[in-house]
Amino acid sequence: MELNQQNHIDDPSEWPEEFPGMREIDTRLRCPICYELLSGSLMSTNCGHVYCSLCIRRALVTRKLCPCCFEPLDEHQLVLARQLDELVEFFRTSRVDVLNALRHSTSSSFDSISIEESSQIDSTPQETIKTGDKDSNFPANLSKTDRSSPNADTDIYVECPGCQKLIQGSKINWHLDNYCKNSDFADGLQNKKTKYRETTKNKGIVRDGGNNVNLVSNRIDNRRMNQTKPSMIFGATQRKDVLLAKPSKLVYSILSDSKLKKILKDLGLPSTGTRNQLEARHTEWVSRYFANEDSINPKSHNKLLKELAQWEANVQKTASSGFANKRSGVGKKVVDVIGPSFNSEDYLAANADVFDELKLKAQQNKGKRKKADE
Amino acid sequence: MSTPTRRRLFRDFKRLKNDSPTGIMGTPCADNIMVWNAIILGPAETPFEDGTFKLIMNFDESYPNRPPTVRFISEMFHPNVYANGDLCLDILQSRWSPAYDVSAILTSIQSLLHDPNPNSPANAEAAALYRENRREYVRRIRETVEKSWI
Repeated sequence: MELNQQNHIDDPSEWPEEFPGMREIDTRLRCPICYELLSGSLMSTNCGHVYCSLCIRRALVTRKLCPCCFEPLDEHQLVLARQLDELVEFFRTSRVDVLNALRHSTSSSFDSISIEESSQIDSTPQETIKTGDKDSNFPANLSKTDRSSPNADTDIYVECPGCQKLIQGSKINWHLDNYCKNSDFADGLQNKKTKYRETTKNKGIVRDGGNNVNLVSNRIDNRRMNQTKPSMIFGATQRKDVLLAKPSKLVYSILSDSKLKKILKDLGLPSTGTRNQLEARHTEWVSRYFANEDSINPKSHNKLLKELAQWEANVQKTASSGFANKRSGVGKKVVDVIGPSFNSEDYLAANADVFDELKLKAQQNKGKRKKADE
Repeated sequence: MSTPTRRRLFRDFKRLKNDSPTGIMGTPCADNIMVWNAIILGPAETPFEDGTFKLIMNFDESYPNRPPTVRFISEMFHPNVYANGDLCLDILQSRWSPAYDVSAILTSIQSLLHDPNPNSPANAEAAALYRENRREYVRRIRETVEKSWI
């Protein structure tokens, strides 16, 4: 039941074998830690490896080494790879479109490949790709970042009766409902958009790219101008945003419980729980806060707080599940995690069919590889 | 409920299915993705050949920042495997990297089989035999291999 979720996971293997280069590109635009497309890319100035901001910040909490090459690495040695972020956003927005186009232009050999975006997207890939005016049928705007254009019908612009700005037809109601809130956003978009559309139209690829692309770059501009107001970028999706103070790293061992609680409170975080929970919460918050600052599309602090709470709930859930509650830390000897009642023989007997199947598959691999070697 | 850890484990599974290295395979339990069953076939042309060694892997929400716990559930006679099946393997402890996945773990364990590290013995008898009486060591390994078929 749980395994069904894997269908929603995008992966370099979705690219047909005929395009090994695309597989490589897809692989290289992913974070070596989470294997997702990079987000808020940070590059080590020491060794050049690139990770998602949150991934590497969290990894460095555990060990101050580059996960790829084991070179010493500290957070101050990380720099934003902004151009890479932009590249990834382009790639993310066109990935599904290109995959679908490939799927239809090549033979049936990879009909079986299911092309899906990540689980956040509920639109299903469309079967038909039409040319010319019917381009709007193209599965467009699957980008996660592109929340502001819910419809594929993005080409028609109308003048807003309120602010006289040009607004996408599909968004005009939303725009008016929000008291023309997004008007300067749309304004900036307008010129670049027409320019971009002209160039892409001629080429006939990435049909909706113009829209997505400019949203992305516009968000970046917005962020540069006004770093402290992520709500500007998100438009009306965040109604009232709290702005929380920048946290700083702490040496927990010199802090008393009450001091730590006060710091958490001042940061706007809950100050209840055990000492370990307080420290873990603070550490995680520091990583999340700064990773959000690195993001091309930062979330509101409200959202960040919710995510932190969710994270804590998940950690506690697994910790109390009884299966992993005796887990050892890095560098310590592995302790008995499966529990004293665990009996290997019983377990093997109960799962005999699972292991038979695994054995079969492992043997098949063996055969496959051998043949390939010959 | 999907968390980054779970999502990563789905990815690991997908990678393992799409391109699994020779002689290893793993799959999450049907009702709990945090627990995996895995199998490692003994490498060819070694005393471990034809062995089908079963393992259990246990992940928590700190994965991939911290390694899973991995344990042989087949009986194992090996310098770096404790009597209860726990492993003494650097990449599962001090040399862990969050860039590793299930496939990398299983591959490392597979190569550990024929390439033990007698300097950090978990099984003193196996380590001593490995150093001093290789013939007897191989005989004991073959016994382990036969037991792994059950």
